[in-house]
Amino acid sequence: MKKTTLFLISFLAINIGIAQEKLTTRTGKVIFQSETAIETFSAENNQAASILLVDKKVIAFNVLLKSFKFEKALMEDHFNEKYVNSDKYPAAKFKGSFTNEINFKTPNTYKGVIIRGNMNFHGVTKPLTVIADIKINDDNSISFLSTFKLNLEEYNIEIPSLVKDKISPDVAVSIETNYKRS
Amino acid sequence: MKNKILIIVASLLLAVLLYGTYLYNKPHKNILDSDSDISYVANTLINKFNANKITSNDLLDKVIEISGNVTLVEESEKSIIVVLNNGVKCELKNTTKTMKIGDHITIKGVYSGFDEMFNEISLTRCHLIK
Repeated sequence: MKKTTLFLISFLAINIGIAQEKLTTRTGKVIFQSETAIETFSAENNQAASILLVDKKVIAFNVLLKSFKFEKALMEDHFNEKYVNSDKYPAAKFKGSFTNEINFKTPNTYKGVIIRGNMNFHGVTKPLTVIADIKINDDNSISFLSTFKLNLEEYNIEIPSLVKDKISPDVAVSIETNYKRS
Repeated sequence: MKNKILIIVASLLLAVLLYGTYLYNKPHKNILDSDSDISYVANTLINKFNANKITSNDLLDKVIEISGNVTLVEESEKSIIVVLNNGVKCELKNTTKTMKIGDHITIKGVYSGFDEMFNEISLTRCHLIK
């Protein structure tokens, strides 16, 4: 009897301990765009995976590079084979945290939330700070939106001199996710 | 003689130019019309993958046909993500058929990697076969 009670108590304690809200999505949208005077191109990925730990204020993304879609098939091949080497480095990952006071229970928009974390891309891990908007929607779901720049050289991505004028050294990245709550 | 060389050079140039244009405008692979490289039952693929009997390298860029039970459906504006047997994630272009948890379906798509966040094998450009 004693044992059962003890078991029950510890079971409850564990449950309370892990009763933190973890929100996930698999349909995150990531767009990157390179813009130079000569050529602008962009690619879109609609299957980015993400986790938002509401209580811990931690957010993480996992983006498979092969899921980026380009207008031209050749661009997609070049992107994967020549630039990001997606066979060797299949994913780009970011994990960060924020400290802003956010009431995740009431519909509201929080602009300019600073998210500090690390970016892992092309075999390089670097600290990265991004600015994001976090919106708590009327249906209780949470929207996340951020745009930032990535410098290709910092992640050891070489742009051949032949196409230097066509590919920007800084690509603009935008991430848009929506976390549904049950 | 000179003319002949000129013609040969010109036609070579033209061929290169045409091939270049063709490459540049090469269409995206049509998944629906191309034959599957491999076909699997979702559970078999998941088990083999977990046991390292099949690796990412074996599947890269392969068209895979897979059948299994729907364990998760997530819809967004642009696409639908369906997870089969808690281990294979497929991105479908919006289809008219509504899918729900428990449905048995067959899907064809291109392998795009292993998602370490949810431990799922990921397929992109998927089409619902049945």
